[in-house]
Amino acid sequence: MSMINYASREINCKIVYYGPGLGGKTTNLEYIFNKVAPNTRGKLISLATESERTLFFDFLPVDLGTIRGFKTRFHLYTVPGQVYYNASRKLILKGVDGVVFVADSQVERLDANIESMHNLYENLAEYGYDLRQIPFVIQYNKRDLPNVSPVEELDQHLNPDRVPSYEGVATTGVGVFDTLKAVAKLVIKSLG
Amino acid sequence: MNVACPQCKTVFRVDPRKVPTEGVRARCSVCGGVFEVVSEAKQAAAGSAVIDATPAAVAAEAAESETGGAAVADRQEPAPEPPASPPPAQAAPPQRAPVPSAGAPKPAARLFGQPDPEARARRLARALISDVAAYNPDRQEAGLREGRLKELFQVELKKSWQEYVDQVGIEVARSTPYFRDALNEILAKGKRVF
Repeated sequence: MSMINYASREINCKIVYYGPGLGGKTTNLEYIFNKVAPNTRGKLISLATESERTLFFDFLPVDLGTIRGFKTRFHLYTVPGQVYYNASRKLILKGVDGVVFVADSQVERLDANIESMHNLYENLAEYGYDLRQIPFVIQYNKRDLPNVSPVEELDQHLNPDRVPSYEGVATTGVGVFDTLKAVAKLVIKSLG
Repeated sequence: MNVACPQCKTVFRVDPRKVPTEGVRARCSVCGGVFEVVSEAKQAAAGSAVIDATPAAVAAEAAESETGGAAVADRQEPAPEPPASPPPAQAAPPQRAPVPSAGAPKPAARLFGQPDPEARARRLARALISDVAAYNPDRQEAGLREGRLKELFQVELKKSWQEYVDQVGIEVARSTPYFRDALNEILAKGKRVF
């Protein structure tokens, strides 16, 4: 649910990076933070818990134009990925405008990916949201590792609705901005 | 008076005497959503203001939840039983209540994956143990090498089992081999340690 700031003439949109633990959500966010112009972004805030953390920052892309005179400010969040941190994940999803699911492509994390996707649907459903109605993209991360599942197999398990998906290597930035641009575009479309 | 949960639309009958003039927060026993119950007097006067939590505030709440704060709000509040009993009054100030915006109808939400509870339990067990292994690769290697997996992962395995039981129920957890299988296959890398 985007929020409008009339004083600064900005529409604030919340994008949540979801996915299993150690899948690369934080790496995505850190890469984006380091690449966007410092004068357009807020601080990178890390909310640490005992062994997991949530990252947050906001930025105003300069090249996206305006919607009826309003600029769009994106607030990017990660969630703690481990199964038992669900209370945090659920809270962070509240008021979400767009979701990026960062899947870990490694074969041994397939069950963790599916469980996390299941948990995403479940948490959204509790707020009355349906992922089919929300801007949603998937990133298959860690494509540089040797033990990855084929994209077709990941699509089959994680992407039954065939939403836009991107291959990524977040450590080097491959696919990071493709993923962000795709979800940003869908969010802006949903506002228009 | 009747009160409808704005999220799942379940209607509860509430004794108006239990709703103070300034309103109360209530948790829906069907969907778990928190909403504000507006007193009849206030309803008559005007529509309630919609104040949403800022993203930063939500994240701050989230951080608290893992240290014990909001988790209580999530699970331990008494919940009303539809259709007769009233939503419980909460001490929080009513202006913090996240009342969803009126107007836009909510789409019917859909779940993901197989509805089969056994398949779900198996996957959950594997995801939990896969988390433990992924976060502690060095300890896993040491445990395998020294034959001390059980001892080295005592804390994580207790926490994982607890989460597993919470989600699938004690009967399924005890009567199926999924958790043990996941331990042997994933944490013990195929050896029968557990």
